[in-house]
Order: sequence, then structure tokens, then C-alpha cells
Amino acid sequence: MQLQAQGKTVSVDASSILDISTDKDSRQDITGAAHLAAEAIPYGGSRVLSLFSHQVDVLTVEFRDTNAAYHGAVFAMAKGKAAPFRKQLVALGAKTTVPTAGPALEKK
Amino acid sequence: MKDHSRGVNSVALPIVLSCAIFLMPGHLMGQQSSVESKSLQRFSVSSIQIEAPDPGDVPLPPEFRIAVYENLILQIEKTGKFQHVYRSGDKDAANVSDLVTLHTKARAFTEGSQKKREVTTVMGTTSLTVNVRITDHAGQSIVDRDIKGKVVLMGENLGATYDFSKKVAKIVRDTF
Repeated sequence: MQLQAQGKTVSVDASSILDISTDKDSRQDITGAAHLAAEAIPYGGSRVLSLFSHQVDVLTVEFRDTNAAYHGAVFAMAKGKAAPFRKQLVALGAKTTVPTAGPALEKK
Repeated sequence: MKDHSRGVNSVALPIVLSCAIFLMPGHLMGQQSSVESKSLQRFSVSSIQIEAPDPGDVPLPPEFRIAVYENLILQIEKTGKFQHVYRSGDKDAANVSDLVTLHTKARAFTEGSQKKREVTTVMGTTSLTVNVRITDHAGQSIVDRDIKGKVVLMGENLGATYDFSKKVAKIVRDTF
């Protein structure tokens, strides 16, 4: 996974992810062009989207870098995109404290 | 003998007076500086390490926990008070002798609603209260305060974490 924020790009190996979770309590509703733009926008960028949107999924990723330093990232994603993305990362070796077995176990 | 004792007195008196003149302001100044040092005590250290927030018993959503942490890193770096701002777990921090550590623990959290805030302007406030403790290398507390962050009108709920971190940065500026 590659993260880009404030002009920096960081590569994060799935195995270095300590926890990955989604928040099903959506806050905003993304439509039209904004829907495409909001594929994965780190917190900060989503401020702009809040002006014309109403529902998003929130994805939270916690990881350690090569120096063992702890990092966190919050993403605003189009509704319904966060859970499959998390599942994909867990399959690649990311750890999670929230079970990913099925939609019934999703956090509400 | 009389003349001699008069001579001693005439020499001793100006010395005593001059000592008194020099000692009195010094004594007063000493009192002032001790009061100032208590009220405006500043610490000089090269580095700070920010530990990951402890949610405690508060149901703080992960995105708020992360936003608190990342905003703290950003705002404390912006203060320019430290040569290094280390993240939790950073191996490089282990050998720093004058390292201080910032710990945060959630005390209270109320998630409001951006929609309500923007429509009513009086409802939907998001607020969080977090205990901020900065300890020195020996574990002694330098700062131990509960800080509240909130977003009252415009902006996302996560804006409360930005408000909180700005307040912590001010405390850091005043302390170091």
C-alpha cells in the first residue's frame, strides 16, 4: 500500500499493519465526480469533499515503519469500499482486531 | 585610641552600608526570580516522543484516536521547540538522554453531527477531553492536564482533534 500526504509518499507493507478498521457510521454522501475522487483520500483532503457530500466509509490504518515508529492514517472512501479494501489487506497479511469473516460481523 | 576607633567606624560604616545596598536589591531580586521560575518554569530538552493515545474506558472511535495522534505530531513539530519529534516505538529515541515523553489518555468523548451544526448552529457539537501528561526521562511529570478539543460550528467531527492538538501545542510552547 502506498500512502501520499503532504508531498510525502510512504510504502507500507501489509505485514507491518498493526490494525485496520472501518467505521460503518457514514458521515457524508458522495455523488458524481466526488464519488470518483474519493477513492481513498487521507484525512485532510476529505475536508473539501464535505462541502458537497454526505456519506462515506472511514478506513483507519495503524502501522509501524522500518524504524518501528507508529503511524496512523484515516481515509475517507466511497460508501461500501472500505470493507472490501480491508479484507484485501488482511488477506495480504495485515492484522486487524475486528473480524472480517462476513458483513454480519462488521462494526456498526 | 579614641581617634583610632573613630577611624575604624568611619571606614566600617560605608562598607556596611554599601553591603546593605548591594545585598537588599539582590535579596529582593532573588525573591522575584524564584517566583518567576515557579510560574514560568521552562524546560530545555532536545527531543520529545509522542506515545499512541490510550482510549482508556472511553469509546473513542479509531479514526479519532489516530487523528489525535497524527495532529499532535504535526502541531508539536510546528512549535519548533524540539530537534526531534519521535513517534511511539521509534528505535532512535532509545538513546536520547534528554528525551521527554507525551502521553495521552481519553477522558470523555461526545460525537456530534456536522449536519446538525451547519443547519442549527447550536447543536451537534463534537467534543473530546484528553489527559495530557509530559514526563521527563526519569518519569517525573512536567505537565499533567486535561485538555478539551471541540468543533462547534463548521467542519468535520474530526476537527475536534485538530482543536485539541493546537491547545497542546500552546502548552508545549509555554513549557519548553
